[in-house]
Amino acid sequence: MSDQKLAVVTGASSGIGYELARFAVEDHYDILICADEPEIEHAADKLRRLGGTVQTMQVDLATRDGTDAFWAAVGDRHIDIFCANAGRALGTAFHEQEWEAIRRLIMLNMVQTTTLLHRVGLRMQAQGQGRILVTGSIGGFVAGPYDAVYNATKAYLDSLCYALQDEWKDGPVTLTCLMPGPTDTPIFTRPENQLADSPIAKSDHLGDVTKTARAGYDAMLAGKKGVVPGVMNKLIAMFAGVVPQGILAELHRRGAKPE
Amino acid sequence: MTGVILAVITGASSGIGLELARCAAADGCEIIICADGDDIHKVGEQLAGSGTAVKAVQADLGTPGGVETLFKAIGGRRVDYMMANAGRGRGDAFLNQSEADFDEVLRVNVIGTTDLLHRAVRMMRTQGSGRILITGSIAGWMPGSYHAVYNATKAYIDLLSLAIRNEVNDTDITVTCLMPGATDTMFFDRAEMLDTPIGKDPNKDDPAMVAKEGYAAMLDGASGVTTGFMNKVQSLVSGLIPDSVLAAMHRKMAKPDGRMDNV
Repeated sequence: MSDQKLAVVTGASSGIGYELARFAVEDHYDILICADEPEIEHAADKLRRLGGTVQTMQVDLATRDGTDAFWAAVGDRHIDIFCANAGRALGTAFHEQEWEAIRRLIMLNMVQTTTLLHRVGLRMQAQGQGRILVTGSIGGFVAGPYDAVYNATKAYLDSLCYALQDEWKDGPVTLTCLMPGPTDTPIFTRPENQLADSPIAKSDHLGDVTKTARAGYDAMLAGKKGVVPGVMNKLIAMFAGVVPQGILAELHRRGAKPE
Repeated sequence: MTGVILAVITGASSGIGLELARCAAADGCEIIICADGDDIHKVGEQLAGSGTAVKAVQADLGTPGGVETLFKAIGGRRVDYMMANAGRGRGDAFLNQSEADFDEVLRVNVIGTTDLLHRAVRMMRTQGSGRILITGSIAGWMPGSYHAVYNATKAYIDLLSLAIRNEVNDTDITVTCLMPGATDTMFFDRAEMLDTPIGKDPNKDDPAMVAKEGYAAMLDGASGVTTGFMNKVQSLVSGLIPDSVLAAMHRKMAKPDGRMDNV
């Protein structure tokens, strides 16, 4: 048992997180997965059918207690892979959003992720080994009207990842930032995300979730700094540095403003 | 009562915030200033001494109660200018910081500022107009090795500011982002960064000049203003240089001298 490797994935009940957990199972890692909804158990059943040893936790990482409870479930085990993937979006105009929904988004996408990265970072540096994958977004390069706080939280994560990679560059731990474009996951359909009425949610060109997760997982194992899956998304990431943010914001408004 | 312009400035006990308050006072505004220390009252007395109507509010905007306290002091009055300036830094390697260290930066820079902006935008939509100035930073366009969480919070602020600006572009509300470079304020002392090259740099910008440019940009309704020539160059090229290179450049400025890393 003791030489069995452990992968931890947050936000693994669906979407990119589930796919990351599946790849870890296929690679014969024991996995610990969590989500804030009972569907995490369905995800675990599917992964066990693939032969995985799966530990689950239903927990709300938008709270400090939830984050602490999850870290307690990790315990003092050696962590080989940590995928900080849990996150939510929040559509509609900033002033129409409820403050509590905004606060929870910040707590989940930023505060929780930062806290767990700090704990995992210390653990892995002490282990002398470890691989971390953070789910950022190309949204972090673009001002995001009608999903304003979400894009800003992803700008935070993208920036934090590049800074930590530099701080850790001579150490044994790698950190990879997965920056997907719009991907075909429940992010656009969850009612609480309030994006179901946006044009982007109805797009036929959403990225394939398996391919997106695969690109992130492989980049993490290779110890790469960042990965933007998909040709169109690579172009957006490239142009985001040179196109004025006012124009990028206008493009984002067209995709995200409810019809 | 008519014709009085009310300006609210957070983080106004020193630095850029104090200078923004002076700009508003010189402009004839009535002002409400806020900071987390009790020195805000002394600043209030000084500004009142020159004939300005001032209300000083001591409140920690990194707490839910703090933002509420400020809005109670505003008391439902029309706010013409809202300057969301309060912010904190924290130097050193991420893994050398305690959770409380980076938590404070997140609470003040992100949660407090967002709460304030959310209330201000709602209030100004009801009023029909208003001007918002947000103190972001050129740090937001550059991953901050050895100041990682701070720079990332400013990436958040810079991008949020631009998104809200776009959302209100069919109203008479304007949102302006002031993006200073290193400025000669208490910031580096409070962030425990006096032993870093950027902390020791004698050529930091004058906060009075930075505030003046920011205040003028707010009155113009500009989307953003980067103060100082070198900072303009830096923000311009930051879009062209890969983030990993920017992070390495930041390490050179912000890494403490002669201290052991935790990594």
